[in-house]
Amino acid sequence: MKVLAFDAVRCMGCHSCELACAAAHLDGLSLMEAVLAGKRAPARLWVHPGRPFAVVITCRHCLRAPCMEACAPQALKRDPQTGAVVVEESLCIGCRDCVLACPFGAIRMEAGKAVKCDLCGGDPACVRHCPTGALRFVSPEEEGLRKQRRTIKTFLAKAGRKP
Amino acid sequence: MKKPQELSFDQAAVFQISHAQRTGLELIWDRLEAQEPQCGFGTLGLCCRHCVMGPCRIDPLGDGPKKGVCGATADTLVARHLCRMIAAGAAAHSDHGRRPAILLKEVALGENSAYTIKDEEKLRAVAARLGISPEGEVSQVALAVAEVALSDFGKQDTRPLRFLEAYAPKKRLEHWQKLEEKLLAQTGALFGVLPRSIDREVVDIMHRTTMGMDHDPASLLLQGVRCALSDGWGGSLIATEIQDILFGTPYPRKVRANLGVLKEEAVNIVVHGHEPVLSEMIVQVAQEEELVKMAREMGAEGINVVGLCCTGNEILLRQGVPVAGNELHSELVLTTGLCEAMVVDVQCIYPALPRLAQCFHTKFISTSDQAKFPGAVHIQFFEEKAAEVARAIVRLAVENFKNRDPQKVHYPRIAEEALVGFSVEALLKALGGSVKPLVDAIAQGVIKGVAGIVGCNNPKVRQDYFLVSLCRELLKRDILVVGTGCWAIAAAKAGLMKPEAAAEAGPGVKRLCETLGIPPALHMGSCVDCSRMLVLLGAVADHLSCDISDLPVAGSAPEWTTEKAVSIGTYFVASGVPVHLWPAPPVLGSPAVTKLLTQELDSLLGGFFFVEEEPAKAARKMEEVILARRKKLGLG
Ligand code: SF4
Repeated sequence: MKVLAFDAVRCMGCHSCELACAAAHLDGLSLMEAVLAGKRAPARLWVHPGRPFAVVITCRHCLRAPCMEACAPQALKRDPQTGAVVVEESLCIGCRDCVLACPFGAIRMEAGKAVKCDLCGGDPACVRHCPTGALRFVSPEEEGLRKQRRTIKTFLAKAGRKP
Repeated sequence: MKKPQELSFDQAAVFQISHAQRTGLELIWDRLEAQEPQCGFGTLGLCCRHCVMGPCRIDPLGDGPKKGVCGATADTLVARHLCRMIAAGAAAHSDHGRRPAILLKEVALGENSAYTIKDEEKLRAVAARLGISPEGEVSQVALAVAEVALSDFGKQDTRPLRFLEAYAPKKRLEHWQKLEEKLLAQTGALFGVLPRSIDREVVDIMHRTTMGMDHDPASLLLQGVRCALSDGWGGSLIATEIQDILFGTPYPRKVRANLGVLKEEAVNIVVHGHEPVLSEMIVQVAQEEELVKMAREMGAEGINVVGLCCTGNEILLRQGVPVAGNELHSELVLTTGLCEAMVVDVQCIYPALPRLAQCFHTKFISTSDQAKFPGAVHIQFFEEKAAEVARAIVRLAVENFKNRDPQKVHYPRIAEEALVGFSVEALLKALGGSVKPLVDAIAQGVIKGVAGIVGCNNPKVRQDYFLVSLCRELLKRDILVVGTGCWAIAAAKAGLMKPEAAAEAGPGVKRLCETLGIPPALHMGSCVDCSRMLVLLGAVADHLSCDISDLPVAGSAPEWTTEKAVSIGTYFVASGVPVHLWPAPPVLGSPAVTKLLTQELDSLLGGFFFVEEEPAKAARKMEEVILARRKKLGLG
């Protein structure tokens, strides 16, 4: 299962991911149609560009998700395809327990229902719209291997050997 | 990578794009793909960089900021940005117009002997129109006309442009005057619609849109209107009229259009850009004995000058020079491997071209002090040494013939015939000297009305698909189509400018075309020649003692790209013509400004914008507009 990875050094604070996120959740309307119709659609991730680095807040889709554990009516479900924790709107009663339970502040309320990242069904819009590659959608396992390879290279180079 | 068929509607282009994709040449569509998805803030017009408290963006959907640092709202941001687009577009057209105006003065004073006055009749007609005595020495009349034009660029009084006063139809002029008075009476605030001087309206916009100035969307848009009018009835009109005086008024002639106009056996010189001043000279010297002989010695059959974009349109109309294509052909023509030189002046010249030219033997030659390109050979153009400069350019091309690599030659043998050159003068001649036959044809319902299609190509739209399909749809509905720019080249390439193409049109248009011996799609010139459409509209309005906003006409820029197109669209709307646009301009981030443009402008000016993605739907809407106006005129 892939997760969102954020590289703070690459973030230039353009907020394209936030707009892309909002635009990906417009019930079939295009961005332009939604704006003209005066529709509200908050983003489900937030970039806080700061010095020395930016921070992105969004759902981690925790393997042991506190929000799911807190949700009495069991409105929060795990999508078997993507591993995303998603809200089943019809079951959500607006108790806000999930908002309180989330250690990252990644869940917000909108029109009485919990709203959070759903990984766009496996192809996150924020990643597609990030112009610098600061946001990536990666498998943690592969990412780990990649870092192992990088570490080995560094060590070998230090020892004056070609990898 | 998309399939070539999806990128262009033109078979010659499809052929050439396939070739580029196979050989790994980068084209504009690849760069567009690399830019996608494009920025939502920019698409909606919701970003501002007018000061360094910013850059600021406005969140259109969520809980993000609704104001810039200075407090500017989405409405202000969008209106300011649109206003600046108009200023840039008007500046481009008008600065183009300034050049022939200065040249006319120099020719009149004998300071430039490289050029002459080719069309004395037109000179005297323009003079008469401006209220200058058309009698007397040619040079005197020319000087007087040039002085009026130049004063329209830089005068400091607040009277309207003299060109506008002389050319705009009476009722329209009154409408603009009354609008200014009405707005003052209603609001107590000053709003200007009539342009005072061409340069001033651009400067006014740059001033007005800087931080802490005009924040009222309606006020900003009206200044946009004023600036656009200084383009249409000012800078562009001056460009057209004076170019006609210097180089000749276009009359119908047969030409060929598309990449197949390149000749394998000849030295091919592509002239690209917008102005005729240099290209006219290149066409002329390329026929000189000495240079032709030199080409033969190099093993070529001769020298083949072909045009591209609006420079292409200028020499196509006046000299019958074949045209290789419109905007999106500018890279494709290089990929044929057949171009010894591409010579450019100003506007719409992709900075990607010199790099692409380097993949071949092609010399990419820039000539304007205002448009220089890294990777180009620059041969500075001086008007007073025009022939010498043109000869140097042609010689370089001829010498380059030997470097052509036959392995890299690949081109489609596709070109269409077209009957082009319908200046207002030419149309009037075809109509027997007056607009009456056209007016009668409309009044009797032979044709429903007239549509003007203008504007560019845009890689976001399948090349020529909208331009050509919209034209066909309108013709089927018995609406005659006139136009300029990249549309005109698209229509020529598609065969819609052959008189036989009338067979595709509805019965009324067909009958009219057969009677007059004209094609159903009429090529009126380059993009500054949109002014010819204004002049034609004005002539019809004055003939009927009505306003342009009463006439059954509509306009469209269905594949537009440049800021110039925004100015053109705005001066048509401001002159009383509803205008269709695709793609949508970057204004949708402000529902208020969008409403102004699509609805409220109508009550102020008798014209409005509308956006439509489908050719058939756009044609239907244009037809509706035309039918509604017919009804108002009491025509069935
Ligand atoms: S002018 Fe206003 S909106 Fe524009 S960048 Fe400056 S502070 Fe931001």
